[in-house]
Amino acid sequence: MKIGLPQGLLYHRYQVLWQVFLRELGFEVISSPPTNPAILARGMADAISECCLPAKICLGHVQSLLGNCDYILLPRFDNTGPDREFCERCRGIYDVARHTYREAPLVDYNLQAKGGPGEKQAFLDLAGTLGQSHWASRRAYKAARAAQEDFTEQKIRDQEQLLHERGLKILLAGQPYLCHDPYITGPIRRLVKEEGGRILYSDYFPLAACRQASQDLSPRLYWTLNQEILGAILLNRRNLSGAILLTAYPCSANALANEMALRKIKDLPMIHLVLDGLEGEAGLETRIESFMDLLQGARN
Amino acid sequence: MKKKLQISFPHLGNYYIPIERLLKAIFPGHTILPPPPITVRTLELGSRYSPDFVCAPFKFNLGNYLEALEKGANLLLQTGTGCRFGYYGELQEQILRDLGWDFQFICFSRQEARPWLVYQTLHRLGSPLNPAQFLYQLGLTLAAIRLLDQLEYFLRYNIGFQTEPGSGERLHQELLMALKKVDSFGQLHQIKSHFTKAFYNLPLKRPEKYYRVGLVGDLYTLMEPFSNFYLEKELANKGIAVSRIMNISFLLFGKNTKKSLLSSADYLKYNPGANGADSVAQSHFYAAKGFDGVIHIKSFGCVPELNATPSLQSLSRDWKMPILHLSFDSHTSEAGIQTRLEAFTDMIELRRQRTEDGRQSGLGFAPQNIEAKTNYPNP
Repeated sequence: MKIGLPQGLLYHRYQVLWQVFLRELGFEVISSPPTNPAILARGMADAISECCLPAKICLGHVQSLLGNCDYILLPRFDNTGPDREFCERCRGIYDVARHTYREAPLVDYNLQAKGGPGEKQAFLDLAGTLGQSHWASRRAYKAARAAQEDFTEQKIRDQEQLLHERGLKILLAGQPYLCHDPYITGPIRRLVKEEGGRILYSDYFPLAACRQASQDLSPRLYWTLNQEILGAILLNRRNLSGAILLTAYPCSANALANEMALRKIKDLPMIHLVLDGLEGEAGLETRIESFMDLLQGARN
Repeated sequence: MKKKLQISFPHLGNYYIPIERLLKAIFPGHTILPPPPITVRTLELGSRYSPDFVCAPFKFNLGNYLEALEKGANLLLQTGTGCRFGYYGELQEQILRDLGWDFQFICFSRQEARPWLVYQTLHRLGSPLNPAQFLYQLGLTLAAIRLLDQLEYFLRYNIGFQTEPGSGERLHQELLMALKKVDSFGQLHQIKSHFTKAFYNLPLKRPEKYYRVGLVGDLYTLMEPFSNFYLEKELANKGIAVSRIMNISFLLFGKNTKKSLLSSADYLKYNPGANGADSVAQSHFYAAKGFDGVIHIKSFGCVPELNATPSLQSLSRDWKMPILHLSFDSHTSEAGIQTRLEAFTDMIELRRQRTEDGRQSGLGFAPQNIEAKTNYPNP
């Protein structure tokens, strides 16, 4: 049986977990192709126009998998504990996709630590839906969790090293589905590198520490991804040259949380880029070039 | 001697009346300063200092605060739950402080909204009430809100058919004036019996065939008439019975997301946040009751309602009941909304004619054997 993973929303955060889990259970796993103009166009056509860019991209990915696999895994993310919630978009994406593509063979699990089953139970339930035995799925979950942790630790170690090297270090501060998406932020990463900068990602830091640190800046913030972004900036601002704050249009959480960051963090050069998937590269180039020039000037 | 407090809070429909009364009872000797009524200036002020694509309620609230501060308020109150609303307070306080205003900001959001913590905070601010008195005043306010909601629910459904234009509105104003002065349950009871009688005796002339429309959507846009260009009044003027389940009483006493998910049938599997599940459940309820249409209103970019929209579209297709989706923002033009509303009312009239013609041929009828299991009041 073939299971498809759409490369949207939190794919970049949980991909190892999903892939190892499903492979251990003996499924064939395919991913949708990396985001490209065709996927974006598809998503924009099918989604309601007011939806945020990542949601549109995610729907485009789901559409690209239709007909290519037996099931499509599209989980629902609620929270990972009290005051560690995902945004409303991640909570609703499963129902949105189910009613946008009513014929899509979607399977899901519900990541809801507070008021729900928790991650492990959610995975066991998922395996049950797919017809797997309890013990096999327990083993698979254990292996998958270990693989995912190895993967993130490796990334954190690499980035830790980079953080203490010399050079212009630019933090790409945004949700994983923005930072790692080749189509949305690919041009930004390329432009920064062309200007001699090195890219760091806000989600490749020890996340628990980041969430803790964000409480100093904004004690009432409850979106876990935004806590991680603000915490990553706060904890590492001494070692960074600058940060690029990313907001997808019209992201509900970032509209508020990034505004707070811009108002409160004064000792790190930052630019705020709003991405709607339609911006020309020329505009982006001007802004990033001038930002990098500024940082170079400050250094010399 | 502590500085004299001038307390203010954001507007939400007519609820400023019971809230103002409650605050007056809690803080005798201090000034309660409801912000000036919402005008275009309020929205302009609010949008000028708000982040780019935050939802409209944030802008309205901020505008209210700025106008209240101009009048001399020095203590602002905010609350917050669910979706983005829970984070409003912190950012609004920061924005106002960055603008250079000097004030106290008390935010009862999420965890801070528990009654005991609220009481402690109010006590610290200088309220002389003991817990029992506080509970009494709180209960009285909730009862007043409940009465207001019940009568407004009745009025909304019937005001389109009043024989003497303006009589319903006049009665409504009298009710609001009476609720301003109430200070005991006995008085409230008198008001209740007087006005219930008065409302039910309102001279009405309802034609045999009339159209019924349900309103669902996000709580602020539904409850603050300025933010939806007085949509309900507009519909009533067209002689349409309007039903709206969402109000403060519903949020406090009736809201049950699990039940809403159940009664939204297969249209939602998970809670989409805030009032998304309620919107679907209520639309399902209206569809089962045979309403002519539903209007789904929200502020621009409201994610819970956007999450519910595809489900509503499916529901509309399956039950063959038209649903109009309207989005309101600081840039929305009233003329555009009116055009769409006219097209919608024309459509439900046409549809009614067609279903009456097509009843024999079985066209355009929803399955009648499915009854939505809800505990909503009968319209």
